[in-house]
Amino acid sequence: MVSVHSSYQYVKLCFLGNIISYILTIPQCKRIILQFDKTGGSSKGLREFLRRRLENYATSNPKIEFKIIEKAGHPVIKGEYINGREKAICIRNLNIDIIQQKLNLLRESSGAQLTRTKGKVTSLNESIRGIWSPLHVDPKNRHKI
Amino acid sequence: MNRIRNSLVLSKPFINQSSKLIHKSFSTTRFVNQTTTQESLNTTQTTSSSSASNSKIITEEEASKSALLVSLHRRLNLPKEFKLSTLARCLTCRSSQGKLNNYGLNILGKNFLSYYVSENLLATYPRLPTIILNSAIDSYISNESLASIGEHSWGIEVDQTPILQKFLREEPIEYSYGKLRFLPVNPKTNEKGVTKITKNAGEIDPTVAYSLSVRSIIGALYASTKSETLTKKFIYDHILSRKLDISTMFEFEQPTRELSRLCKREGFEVPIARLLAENGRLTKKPVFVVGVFSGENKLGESYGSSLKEAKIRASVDALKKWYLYKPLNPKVPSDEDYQPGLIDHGIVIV
Amino acid sequence: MNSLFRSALRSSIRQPLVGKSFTKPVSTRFFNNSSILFNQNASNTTTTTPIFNQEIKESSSSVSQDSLWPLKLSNELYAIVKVHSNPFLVTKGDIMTLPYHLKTAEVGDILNFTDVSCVGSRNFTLNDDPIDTNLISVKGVVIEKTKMPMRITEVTKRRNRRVRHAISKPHKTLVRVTEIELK
Repeated sequence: MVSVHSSYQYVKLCFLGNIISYILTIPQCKRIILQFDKTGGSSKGLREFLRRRLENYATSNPKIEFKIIEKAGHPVIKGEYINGREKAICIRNLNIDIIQQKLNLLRESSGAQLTRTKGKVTSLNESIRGIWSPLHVDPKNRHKI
Repeated sequence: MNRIRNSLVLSKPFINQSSKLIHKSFSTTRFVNQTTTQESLNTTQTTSSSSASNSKIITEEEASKSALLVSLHRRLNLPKEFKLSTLARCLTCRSSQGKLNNYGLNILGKNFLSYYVSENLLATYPRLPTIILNSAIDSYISNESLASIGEHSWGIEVDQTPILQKFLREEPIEYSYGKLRFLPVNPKTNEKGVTKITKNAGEIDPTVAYSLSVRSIIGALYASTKSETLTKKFIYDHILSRKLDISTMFEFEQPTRELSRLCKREGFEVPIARLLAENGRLTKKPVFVVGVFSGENKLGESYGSSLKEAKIRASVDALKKWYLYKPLNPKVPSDEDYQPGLIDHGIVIV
Repeated sequence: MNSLFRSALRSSIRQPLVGKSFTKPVSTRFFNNSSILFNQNASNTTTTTPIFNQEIKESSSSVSQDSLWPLKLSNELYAIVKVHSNPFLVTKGDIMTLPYHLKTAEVGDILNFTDVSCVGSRNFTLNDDPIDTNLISVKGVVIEKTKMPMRITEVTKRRNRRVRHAISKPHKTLVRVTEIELK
């Protein structure tokens, strides 16, 4: 008789560990918070960005929600991601162009921690060609001790 | 909290309006603050008196003011016919605010999901035993799976902010239309170290709420576009594009016996296990590679540290290869060029 | 380079049969493979000879679509994709890490890989450099443009106390392979 493996419950519950979406076209950044100071000199660049470029920038990124917060202190931009993480960049004294670069950085990131990966390709699939096995080599060609 | 003097939210459709608000916030913040407080007061009043007839329906205008809702709509690449107010309804669970809820749409979505997922699995693995098939369908569309899609893949947020905090933040009432609204289970008890599991009427788990919203978005996609192909594509993109390793779900009680029964039923020759290779028979860790053959055909092959283990593993391998047979380019009944494929005899009865 | 199928050699190495009673090689993935229909029906026809022993070579320099039939018998394919002559062995669903900032593509853009040097299934491989794009299509989607973690290298010179700290935080682009298909 066939029965369902007992560890199947695990499959059901830990969904993300076992089933992973192949196509991920959903941008992972869901919200960008722009925090500026009304009078502070370090916020000059961000204030200029809000006045001049924000409208265009938000229009060209409709999948992201932009939130503007006025708060005393140095200006900060924060990205909130679908995976629940947050990335914050302090942008004090930065000019308008660099701020836009930093926003792009938040926008293009997936929110995951920066990690060094082993190898060029990460795969969930089994090797299609099969794995080489010494036991399957023709006995004539095998290494003999 | 208090230091956040003014928070404004903007997104594409009402960008002009919000950018005006920004300029206002530069010049006359106090004015903006006053107006928003008045607004939020009004809205809190309306929420408290939910019996009012207007508050039952979220209008398109109200919905389009919620940046969260608009960005979610864009993120899921929903078509224009899918209205924002419908999306807001999909995120409203029963008994949350007395507004129109997602229950009906959820049933529609559930039917679409179970139909497309089961037909896809049946077409890809025509020999899958029913019990495994059901588990596979479940792992695609169970509450937990759908909740994880809603939370970790679509980024739907739960409306958890208390009303007082919303008021202090001067958050417009429309903003929360983009969040998942439901009555959560109140885990509070007076006893320390004890949490309550039983629910009161109308209270639901976050997992259930998430799955309700995901299902109802699928249902609403069909209801608003009337297009089965779009709905099918959406399900294939978001749910069936996930990798599920079905081969790990099997558990065989008597694999060797089951294999011989199978061969008898299908008219194959009696399966015979043969040693293909071995290494270190007399050592502590021997390795045997055994293949199961039916006549000249090798049905399965595996390894083991004893001959018996290797034989059993080889028969399991053969059985899995039988049950997990995959036709080339499988077509499902909802495809236009569908032709009936293999119909299996069912599982082997030992 | 002439295109050819390297079939017999690989299959015999990976799945040989040691048992004496089996002089004929047999299909290795009888049950799982779609070749079950092939093998069952083939008992009377000419295709009974195991496909793995046929060495398929193309005499002409170009491969025709009909000659790809051994690959079409497989549900799973792998490909070796070259990006700036950097080879990546990928299957469907894999994530490729490109060690630079892909300036021309945005996140969510679909890329078509044209420089594919190899496409194969378990037992057959088509090699060419590059394979004609009329035969196959390999596509990917840009999922993320991010950076590698910051690395600080201590640069020292002999007989010199000064230690220079070289900071590097290079870019990387992640691309998910969404399609490997024969046309």
